[in-house]
Amino acid sequence: MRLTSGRLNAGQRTLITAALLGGAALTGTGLAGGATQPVPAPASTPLKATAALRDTAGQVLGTATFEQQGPGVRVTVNVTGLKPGQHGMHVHEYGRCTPGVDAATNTVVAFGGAGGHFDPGMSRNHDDPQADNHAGHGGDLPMLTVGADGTGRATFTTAKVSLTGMTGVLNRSLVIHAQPDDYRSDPAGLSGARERCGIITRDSFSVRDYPLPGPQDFPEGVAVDAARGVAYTGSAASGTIYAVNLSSGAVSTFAEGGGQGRASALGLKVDAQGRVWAAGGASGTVSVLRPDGFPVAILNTPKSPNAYVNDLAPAPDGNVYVTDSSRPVIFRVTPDLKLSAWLDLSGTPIRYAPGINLNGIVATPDGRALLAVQLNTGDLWRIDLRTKAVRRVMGGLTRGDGLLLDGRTLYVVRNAEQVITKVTLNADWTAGQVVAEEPLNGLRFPTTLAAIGGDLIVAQGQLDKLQGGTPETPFKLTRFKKF
Amino acid sequence: MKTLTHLLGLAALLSAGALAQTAPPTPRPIAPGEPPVTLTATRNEPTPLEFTADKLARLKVPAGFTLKVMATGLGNARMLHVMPDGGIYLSRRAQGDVWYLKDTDRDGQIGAAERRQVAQNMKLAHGLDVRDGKMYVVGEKTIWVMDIARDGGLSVPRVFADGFPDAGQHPARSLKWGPDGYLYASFGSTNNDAPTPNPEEATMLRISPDGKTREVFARGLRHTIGFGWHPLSGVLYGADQGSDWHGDNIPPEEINVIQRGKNYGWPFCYGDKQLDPYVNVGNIPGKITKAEYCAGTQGSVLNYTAHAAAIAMTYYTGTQFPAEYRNDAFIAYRGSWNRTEPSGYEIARVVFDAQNRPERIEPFITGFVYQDGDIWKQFGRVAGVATYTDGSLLFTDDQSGVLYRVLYTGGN
Ligand SMILES: [Cu+2]
Repeated sequence: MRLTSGRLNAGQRTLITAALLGGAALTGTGLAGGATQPVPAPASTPLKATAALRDTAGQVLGTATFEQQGPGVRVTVNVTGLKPGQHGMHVHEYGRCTPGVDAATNTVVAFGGAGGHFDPGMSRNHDDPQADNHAGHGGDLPMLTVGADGTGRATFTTAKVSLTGMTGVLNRSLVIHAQPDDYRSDPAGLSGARERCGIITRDSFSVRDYPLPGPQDFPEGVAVDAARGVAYTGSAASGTIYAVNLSSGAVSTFAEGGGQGRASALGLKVDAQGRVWAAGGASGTVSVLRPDGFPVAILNTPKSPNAYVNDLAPAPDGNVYVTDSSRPVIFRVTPDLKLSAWLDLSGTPIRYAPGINLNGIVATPDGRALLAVQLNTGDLWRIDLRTKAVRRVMGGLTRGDGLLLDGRTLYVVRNAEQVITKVTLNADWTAGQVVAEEPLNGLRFPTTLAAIGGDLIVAQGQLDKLQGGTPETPFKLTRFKKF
Repeated sequence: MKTLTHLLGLAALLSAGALAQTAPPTPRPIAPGEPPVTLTATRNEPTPLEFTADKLARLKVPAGFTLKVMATGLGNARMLHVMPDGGIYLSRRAQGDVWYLKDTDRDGQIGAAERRQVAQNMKLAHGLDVRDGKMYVVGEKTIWVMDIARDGGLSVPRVFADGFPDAGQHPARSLKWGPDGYLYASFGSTNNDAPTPNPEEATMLRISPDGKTREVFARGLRHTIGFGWHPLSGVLYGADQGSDWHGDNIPPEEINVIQRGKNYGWPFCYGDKQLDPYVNVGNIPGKITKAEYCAGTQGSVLNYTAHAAAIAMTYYTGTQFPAEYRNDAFIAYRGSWNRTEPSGYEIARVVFDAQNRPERIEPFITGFVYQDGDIWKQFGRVAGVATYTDGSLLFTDDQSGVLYRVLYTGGN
């Protein structure tokens, strides 16, 4: 679940071709080679997006379209009513074209809700559109040149951003400023006021968002109780667990966090009795909450400064298996609610390394095995429930967080990579293959998912913002059709 | 200003469609600013005087009531629990013990032979309640349970629940068994007016009947010592002590309706979700404005003079007092130390209306604090309050160790 430094390939270079229509030539146009980012697995429908560009009064005065091309994006902009000349143009972090606070002056400015420049490489630096994402904001696009008639048009391709993955811009904003961009000065190249803003929205793809009520919710776990028609989601920051009515979207506090052993809530599951199980993260606990939210049991793992109880899986044998991301052990809770260490991983092929290790865990429906993903290495492991034999199923699932097993299909939420990966497994759960990778309509550090009939629901945790930066509110769960 | 108004209008317009429900406050990249405020705070601790019988004449009781002293020399006499047979348990926080008092000769006095220590070595022992023949006592970080013997004696304390937060500035813990069979206990903040490090501070906790699990029932309660369920409505009311050093009238003392999962605003908001101007906005989680934070909290249902310092609260369920008193609440306000004109130093009555809603708070027993020339003096810090078996009202003074008894004699 938790953070990763979100770094891009060191060799990644911006790839820009600008074809300017009705304007002066773009200075500094160039082709930087060496894009090494692997082409992602296909999404369920082609990745295309549109942003309706509004002025500060809310009137639509232009459009931008985005189309995935390999690891990059082809962008077409067409906007009217601007002052002739050059205008800074950037992808900003948040999908909000609302007034918001400009940190430099601590005042509310037009389109301030869009936040600062999208900065997936954590460069904290404004630069030119050819700069590597480590050197400059990923959202630093070429200036838009506006002709004498007030119309600006541009088409270009950039590999600084994508419609999927860590550099994904879906549900972020395209902002056009009043002034030219000097491609240098922080934070926005002295490009002045924000004059146009559009939210980059995926074409032909629908999701339903369930907004959460708090400014610091950081939802990590999600579990569905179909009988009650609710999804539970828990805050990694406070341990508070909400119940979200799946039809109305109404949110109520199911269990306030912060009590003993309940300072954080990570993985959540609902059992056959309607009880909610919560992994307690650094508090080292597993909590079992009654359907009215009161804790039936708060089970302690051995005391340790490195406790990281991350996810849990009820199995057909009636036990619940629990991962710890920093201690190499799988815990087991038996039906009488007793917790013990079930498998010491030090004698197995699973090697714990710095960072977050075993995370999401599921039991196979035939009761033969557990499947668990190791976040830092991207390996998926099969752990036999009878023999405790451990074998590697597949690799390549880096930043794998929550898992959902649906028949032979395994959905893997990959938090910092901001996609949900669909894997098809073989009959004895010993091998798998990636078949699709979905960013939905933009994911913000998604953590876990659950099924609602033919739909899935994912928690957009934004846990990368727990240690700095400003989360985008509302925090939300997002429901979508299985792909 | 004109521009700002325009922009905020636009915000409402654009967000209306996007969010079906009320949008949460937007975390800011940087904490919001607030204008500077200046205040005058006064430390005024009235000169404490030992209780002597000649001072009794200073105490004022409503017409028809009589005040008597039942015992003196009790030490740090804090909370009271009256048993059906007239036995009285008394906690002494400073001494960390519990005493059993019983007026066996029925002379209205607790003589030397009618008082004895029944439990000891419980750090900061304070709130106490009885259920199913067992005595529960809460101290700084622990709740103990003891078996009650027929003669009022208690067994050696056993730990019932443990690991509660440090007490810091607010070591008066309190507990009561609720009508749902769960134990409710309040744990005040370690500090005066800032977010607390331990999320179990400044809360009311709800604890399972076996003591093994618990939850945060409500938060944002700085120091709610007196609380209880109204005998007719079953609503849980609590009296919260507001922050110190914010001037003579901010924040008022509160009566809250305490509900599960709610936040009562301290340290940023007081009374009816008012913004406390003297609390740093930069400490608000999520860097939202104080107004946004307070909008998400619960306001009080009644306020009382700032710094009066509510300790115990009890509902009057006896029949000795006139009928209008029945099911009203009495609160011991121990008295201020940071207000120009002292507040509290009194037993107050919370008057409930015909619909069993709290209507107002009025003084009941006053006169412990007075001005002698230019100097404020006091001879009683009231703490515990309970209904006695005959329907009279008992209360304690924790400074001189006095147990008082209020009787209604107006009918005779
Ligand atoms: Cu910009």
